[in-house]
Amino acid sequence: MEETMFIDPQRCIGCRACVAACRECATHKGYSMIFVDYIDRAETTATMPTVCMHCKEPTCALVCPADAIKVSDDGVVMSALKPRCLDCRNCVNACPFGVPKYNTEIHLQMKCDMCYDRSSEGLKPMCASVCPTGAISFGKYEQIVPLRRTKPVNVHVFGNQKVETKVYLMLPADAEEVKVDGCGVFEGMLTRAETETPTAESWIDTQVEHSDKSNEF
Amino acid sequence: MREGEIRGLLSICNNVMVSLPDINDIRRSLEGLEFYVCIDFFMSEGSRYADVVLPGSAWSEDEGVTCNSEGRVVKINKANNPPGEARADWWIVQEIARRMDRGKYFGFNSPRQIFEELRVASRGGNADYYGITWEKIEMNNGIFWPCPTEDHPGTPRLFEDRFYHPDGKAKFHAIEYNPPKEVPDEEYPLILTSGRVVYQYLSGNQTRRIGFLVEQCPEPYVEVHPETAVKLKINDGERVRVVSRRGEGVFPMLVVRTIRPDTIFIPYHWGEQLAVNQLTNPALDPTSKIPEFKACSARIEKIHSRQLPILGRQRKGASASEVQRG
Repeated sequence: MEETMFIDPQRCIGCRACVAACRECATHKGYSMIFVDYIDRAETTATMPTVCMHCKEPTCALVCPADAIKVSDDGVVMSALKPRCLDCRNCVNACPFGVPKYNTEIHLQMKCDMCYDRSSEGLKPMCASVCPTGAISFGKYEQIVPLRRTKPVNVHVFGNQKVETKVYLMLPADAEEVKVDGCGVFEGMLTRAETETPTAESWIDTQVEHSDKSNEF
Repeated sequence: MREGEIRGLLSICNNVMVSLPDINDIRRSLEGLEFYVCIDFFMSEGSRYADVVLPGSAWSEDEGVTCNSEGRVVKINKANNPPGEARADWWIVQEIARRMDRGKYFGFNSPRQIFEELRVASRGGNADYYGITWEKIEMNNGIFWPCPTEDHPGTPRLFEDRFYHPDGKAKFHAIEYNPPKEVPDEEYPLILTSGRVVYQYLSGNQTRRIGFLVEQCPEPYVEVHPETAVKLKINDGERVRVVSRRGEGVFPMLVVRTIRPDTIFIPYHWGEQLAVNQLTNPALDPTSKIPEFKACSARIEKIHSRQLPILGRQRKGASASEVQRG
């Protein structure tokens, strides 16, 4: 099996070394394409890195009217091609993982391309090469499985949409898929809104993740 | 220094106005010195009190060895030369000695010769460097002490066979609990503990100059448990005054369940009015002589935004009330 990324949120310590390193990849033009979020800083110190999941059928590419988002032979979904990108931001709004961002300075959609200049040459992506805890790993499926008690999962269910991805999330051993049941979430929010106010996001999130919270650079 | 016994000081890369407890007292001590020389590679909060500042070298501008906390001795190679008039720290020390007519005690000409001296000086001790050479370090990705002879591979794991006590066994000691010098009372009801954030390094004199790291954590804050915040009637993100018997500072409050209700936390990497060490207690542990950075008594006071220092209103993440009134 080809090499890919394995994201293990349990191991993330929120050091953001990946964010610092990502900016230095030659294809990223000085912008970081990885995002590290506090899950809920008021309750826990837990953090989660987000990279492009590199879908087998990428929604971003499917909704692009200019066919600007290409997929490599080995399944890596690229940033939009500069001559083709129309600034329409369909991809930014359509991605189920909220990954692509629109760069207002250079009028271009940009996203994690698994450091294609590096990974296509056998080097690890920048984030995986600096992560001190193995929260972001790059390698083959059969290499990672014996090393971890967690299980690589790459099927994500968003309501009626099932998304299979090249990148794996490391989950508890009994997990088969990641279920994000859209309808359930909305129903839950409606009932909760009547009884209590939703927890406000901690100001420290906004401070350190200024760009992460917006869908623009 | 406080008692006037020490009247002159040469410090190397030691930003005492950030990293020592009770910096208001440290300031008085530094001002009371007859002569203070500081070797540092950036001006720091501490070096401002020096009579003479000598530009030293950063770690990448000199070569040598360093030992990490697992006992592994590693080699650091020089990547570039110190800029301008900056010199290697060991050269500065040696030159001072030479001009004070003590040059014969500092007869080395390179970091390697200093290392050779360490090898001989540590011979036979617990941390025996005698068998470590730069070549061996480079070939093995580091050598662990003790390493008594040149054909010895080093000791990656201590005490595998026996401990250093005569019977070869480890000893457990029951220790009577001694509370810190200060325990919370009515006036100062909270335990203030200081510490680090991952984005800043030590006194911050290097990392506070790096844009990316400053963005991750631009200034210190005070972590408070929600129960305590409710009692104080203060909201998340509001600026509060934290007061101890030695000093006070104004910090934005981060309300989190990840701290005990009786404890508050402030990271220490900043100086002057942002320094938690305005508040900390210089009392020393009787055995290790480590100051009580981790426990002193403090209280939190609500303040009105009109009293906020200017920087408070400009910062990212300032609470809504601060921004409106600012």
